[in-house]
Amino acid sequence: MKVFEIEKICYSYPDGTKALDELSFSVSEGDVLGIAGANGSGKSTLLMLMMGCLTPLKGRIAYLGKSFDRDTVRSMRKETGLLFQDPDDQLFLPTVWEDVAFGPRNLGLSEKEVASRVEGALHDTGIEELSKKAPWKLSGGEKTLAALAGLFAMKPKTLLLDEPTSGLDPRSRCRLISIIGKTEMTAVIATHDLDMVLDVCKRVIIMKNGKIESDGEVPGVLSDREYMRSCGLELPLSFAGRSS
Amino acid sequence: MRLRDLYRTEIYDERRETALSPMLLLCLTSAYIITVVSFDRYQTLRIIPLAAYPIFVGLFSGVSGRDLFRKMTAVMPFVILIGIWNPFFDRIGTEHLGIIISRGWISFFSLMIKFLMITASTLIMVSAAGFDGLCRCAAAAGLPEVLVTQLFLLNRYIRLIVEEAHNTLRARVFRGGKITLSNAGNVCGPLLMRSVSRSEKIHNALLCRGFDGALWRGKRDMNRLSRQDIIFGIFWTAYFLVVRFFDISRAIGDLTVRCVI
Amino acid sequence: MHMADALVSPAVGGLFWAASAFLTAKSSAAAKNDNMSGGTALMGVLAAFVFASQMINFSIPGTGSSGHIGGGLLLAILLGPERAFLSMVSILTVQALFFADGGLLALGCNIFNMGFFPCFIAYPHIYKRITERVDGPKGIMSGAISASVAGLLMGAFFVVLQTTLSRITALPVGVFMMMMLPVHFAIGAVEGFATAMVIIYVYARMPEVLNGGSPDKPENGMKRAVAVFSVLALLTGGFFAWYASSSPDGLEWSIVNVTGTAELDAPQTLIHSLLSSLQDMIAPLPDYSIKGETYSENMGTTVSGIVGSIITLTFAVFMGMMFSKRKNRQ
Repeated sequence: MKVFEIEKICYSYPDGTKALDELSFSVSEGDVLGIAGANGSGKSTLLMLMMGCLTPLKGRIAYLGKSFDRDTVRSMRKETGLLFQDPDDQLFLPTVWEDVAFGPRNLGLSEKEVASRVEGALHDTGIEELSKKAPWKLSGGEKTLAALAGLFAMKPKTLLLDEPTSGLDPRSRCRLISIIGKTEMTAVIATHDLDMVLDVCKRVIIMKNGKIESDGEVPGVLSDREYMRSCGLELPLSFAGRSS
Repeated sequence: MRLRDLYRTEIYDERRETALSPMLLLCLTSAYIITVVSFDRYQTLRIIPLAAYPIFVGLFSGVSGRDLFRKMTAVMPFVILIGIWNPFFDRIGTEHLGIIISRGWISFFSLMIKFLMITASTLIMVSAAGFDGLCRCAAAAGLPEVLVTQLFLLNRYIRLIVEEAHNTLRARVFRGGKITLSNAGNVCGPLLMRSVSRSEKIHNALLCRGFDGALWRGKRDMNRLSRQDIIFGIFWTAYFLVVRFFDISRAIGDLTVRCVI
Repeated sequence: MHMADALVSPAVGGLFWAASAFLTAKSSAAAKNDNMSGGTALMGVLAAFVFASQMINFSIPGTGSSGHIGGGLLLAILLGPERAFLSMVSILTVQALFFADGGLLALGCNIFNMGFFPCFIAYPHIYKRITERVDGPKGIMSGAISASVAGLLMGAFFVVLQTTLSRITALPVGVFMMMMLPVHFAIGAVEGFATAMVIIYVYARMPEVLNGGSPDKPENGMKRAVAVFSVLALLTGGFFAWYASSSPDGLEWSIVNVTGTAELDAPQTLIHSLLSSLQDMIAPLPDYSIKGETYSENMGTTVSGIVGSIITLTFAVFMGMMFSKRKNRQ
């Protein structure tokens, strides 16, 4: 079943810069899709469009077969979580516990159910001991995990992650990759951490200048050095030693 | 200095587990302030027993005296500026401590005593109850949702943006730039634009998690008082009334002097 | 310009609390109903921005002093009057609670002086009118300076009014105003200039940000509330100014203190007696103004008072430490 269908979408920034140019692809249930590209290739913009935060100038986005309209976007957001690149944009409340509870409360759940979901989410992300801490006191990695816990507590069917390993130390990065790897949700990960794509994703889309350059199985797409360079990328570090 | 003050208030976050209800502290402190300011402007010694309240609550909550002193001295100048004129314009003499002193000086001292006591009690209340605790209580008591959300968001992002402002200034100064009025636009302008961009991302993040206008909703039962709170409240309210209507310092002093002599 | 609690009487504090609470409620209702997308997040972040930028002191070459941007006006330009007012309420609350800049009782006065005047009077009636007539940076500069000066002068005037009505200071009204108004004129000019520089910067790069300050149509309820308060402020201020100017030495006690006589002349004018009765009416407690009692305290009673105070406070310290230890053990 197709969860997201993106058909020939075009988007430009307010200053006129073209961000996306007739982009088309789909995300099926159970996919773990990586979207890789150099800075400015349009990855983050694409995720914002998929979440309904931006409206494409042309083209169509559909969720579970229904084209985006107000009701579809509302119901899509109850089943989809977006992890922002900067977790400070996502952690609003005075303590981690309350912030993780924010989403379930907005779903209208009872306090008992909210508490159960929060405990579960904190456990899944391994940050139970941080529940009473204020978000601004957390390290970068802890903030990312807290933001992720906030999404897990909503029990989404699909996760959209924008540069999840950006700014993380190696240990936090490993921890995050392990958590994402264990989930059974459909996931779309926009990143230029190609080693993460190798570890976690089955399929990868390479973007360049707002267009899709390739869409295929992970090892095949990422192993061509010349091709990767032409897209403004390098080989994953795991491959770099093998190819000459 | 203000950034340090912001951070210093957080050291009390971990100490609030067995503390008193924020609503109780808010009500008591408000009653305290009204009691203190209701004294005539020539009262000095009669007010002093009221200092027992901030002293007790401050010690009970483990509030640092140094933090209090620093904050109070920072805001004292305006009060001194208003009060220091009293001795010049209120020159009727009166006997105090066996010496003739003008009423203006008495009213000035009274003003300073009131200022110190009220300011200390407010700062202690915030440290003991926590800003968020106070906001939640106010929300549960009926403060508009828009304002509660505003207070939470301000408290949340103040540190981030103040740090960003500090970094902006440092980066400018390290490259030899000056912070003058003529380049206010170049200093604050980019910070403002970054803040606006950030607010758009925050707005999207709020919407993505189902935000419908209220960041936090108060529950009425969160302002329910425990038995300890009620006893505490009754005791101090009675104390404020007794001090307001009776000169207890003189009564205790008379008794002591009689016993000793 | 932040008033401390010690400078305000319960009656004056309560009155302005009521006024500010009413305006806050109205503004909250207006903010909830408007169509400003993203307004909530923008309000919160911009309030934090104003807070941060007011910590930046811009040196004024040749004067040795410094200034910062004005909060209320800048917020009104970016958010519109109602949201700007709510942002100012939040900023003043944080300043009072975290930094003791202002106080709980005086919060109503501070919100009125530093929120109502810039957001509901200076911005719509001065800044907007000037910028509608004069385009571009010139309009922004003249509008911002004029509005900032006007807002601050109105606020400073009300500080004098509130302090005087609270009967805290013996400073004659005329002298008090001479101290406050010129200083705040200068501060307003500096703040207006700094604010204008920021707005001009943004206007050149992100003009759409400035459109937030122009709500399509303010709600009738809000318009009415602002109109009523503007008229009340005008009447109160005018009445007060008329009274102050008709009595060159200020209020009754100033006359007494300057002449050194214990006897007060009976009010000569209608205004004196009217204000006198008003003060009597709003005096909160029977002995707020003790008439006839002398304040003379001889050595004996003063020593008793001091001893009693020391004993009371020592007891409080002891109890505080004891309960604190017990709490930590639990």
